[in-house]
Amino acid sequence: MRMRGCSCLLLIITLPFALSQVQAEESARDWLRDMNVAFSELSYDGVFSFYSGSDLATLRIVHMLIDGEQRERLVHLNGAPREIVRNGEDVACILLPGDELLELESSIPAGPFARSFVRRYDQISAHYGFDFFGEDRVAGRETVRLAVSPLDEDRFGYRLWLDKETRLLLRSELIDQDGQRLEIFQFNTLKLGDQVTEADLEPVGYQGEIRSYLKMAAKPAIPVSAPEIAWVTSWVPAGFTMATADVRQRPDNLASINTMMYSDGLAAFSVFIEDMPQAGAASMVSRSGATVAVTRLTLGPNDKDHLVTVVGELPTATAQRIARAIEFRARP
Amino acid sequence: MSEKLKEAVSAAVDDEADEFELRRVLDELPKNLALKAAWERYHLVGAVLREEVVFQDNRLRERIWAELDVTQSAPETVAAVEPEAADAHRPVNRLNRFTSAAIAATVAIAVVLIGVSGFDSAEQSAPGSAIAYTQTPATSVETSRRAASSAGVTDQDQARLAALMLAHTQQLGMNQAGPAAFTKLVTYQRR
Repeated sequence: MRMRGCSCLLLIITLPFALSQVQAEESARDWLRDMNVAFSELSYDGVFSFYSGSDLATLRIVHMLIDGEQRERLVHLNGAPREIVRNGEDVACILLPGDELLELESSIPAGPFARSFVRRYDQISAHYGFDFFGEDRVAGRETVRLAVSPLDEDRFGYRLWLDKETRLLLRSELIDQDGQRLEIFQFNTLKLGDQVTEADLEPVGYQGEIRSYLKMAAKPAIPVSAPEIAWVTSWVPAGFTMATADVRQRPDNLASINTMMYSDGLAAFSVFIEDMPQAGAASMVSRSGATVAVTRLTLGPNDKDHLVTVVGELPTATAQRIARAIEFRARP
Repeated sequence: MSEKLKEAVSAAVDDEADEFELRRVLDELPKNLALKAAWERYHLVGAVLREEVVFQDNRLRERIWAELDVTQSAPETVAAVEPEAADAHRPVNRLNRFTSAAIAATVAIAVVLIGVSGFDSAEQSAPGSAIAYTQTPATSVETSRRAASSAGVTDQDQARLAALMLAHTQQLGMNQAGPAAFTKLVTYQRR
């Protein structure tokens, strides 16, 4: 009897806390959903900074929703001119000759960019916790701060600053397990609504510019159980599901390369599997800001060496574990 | 550092030191910088070989830039900290610098692994020799699986990795909502 009294008392004391935690989580999810809508539906024109571990870049973004079609222009304000212009499903990269992006793109396996649930803030898996942590001011505007904390060691966390009035994301930080900031994104100035003009969506044009085009898949092209992908991952961190899978050709030597992308709704990683190049290849681990790349060798069909590369915004140890878990699945 | 002391450190790291050796190492550690560095390297190398790599990004980056500063003929103290800012007015040089940086950063892990081939690398590894040294460590991680090439981390390896990182960044950009979506793509640099 006495025991029961005790546990009732405990329940009375802890229940309100538990409920308020649940309410806070739900409310945070609402804010994130609103943020996602704000991204795609609002008109905004602002200058923001992006810090990625070693570089600080300044960019301008102009975004409008016109006749149901998202239009966006992203301008790199430092260094050699670079712009990305998006009209609905069409994305154009505007670069000057000699830009390393051009050279690199020519060796990227081309493929349709499947629309999938990567970094959709309203589809975040249950492997993150949400908390409000006070208010702040960013770009002269009042914001609410939200913490998105990973519940395990296999993903990074986020701190988000959302505009109180519009719920647009005004600042975000990507945080590793030690609390170090790997990436910071922050608006410095921002115009909203009627202050944004359609003319500012037009690229200014540079002499000798080169445009390379990317096409977004109009609908989710996800052959998730693609039979031609003869590779399986025997382990991925909890909550990660396959978003896309396809076989592409390397434009330089036409070798085929298996690609798969996984996401937990917030973090994402890509897996690339290719034949061992004739010249051989090294096992490597490389990190650049939040992005890590792990290459290792594994046995594929006919006991031949294959190269597995995992690239993603993940802790190094997690990316290594994923790379080790990729296996060739012999056909029955 | 004496051979005996070196052996004692190695044994202590491997948990194989006797009480006397351990005491000697612990006494010596606070006052002997070379020993302290060796101690840290042994641990790091052990972690890398056991594939529990948790490398210190910042320290690595510092070392990478330090390597670059010596290989470049125009050293600037500011450049070691903020290379991009310092070089912003010299575009040609900046490009060179980033090419080198790309190589250095891509073999970041290999730089750590210098320790495998030369434990006293603090004293003996000449700046700029990091890449040459990668041959041993790269093969020591996966010796048996390393195929045709014996050249360590090659330009082709780095180019392949850079292309795949960009492919990932593009794919991510196409699937992400909001202003940050294409930011990583448009600010992409081979670091």
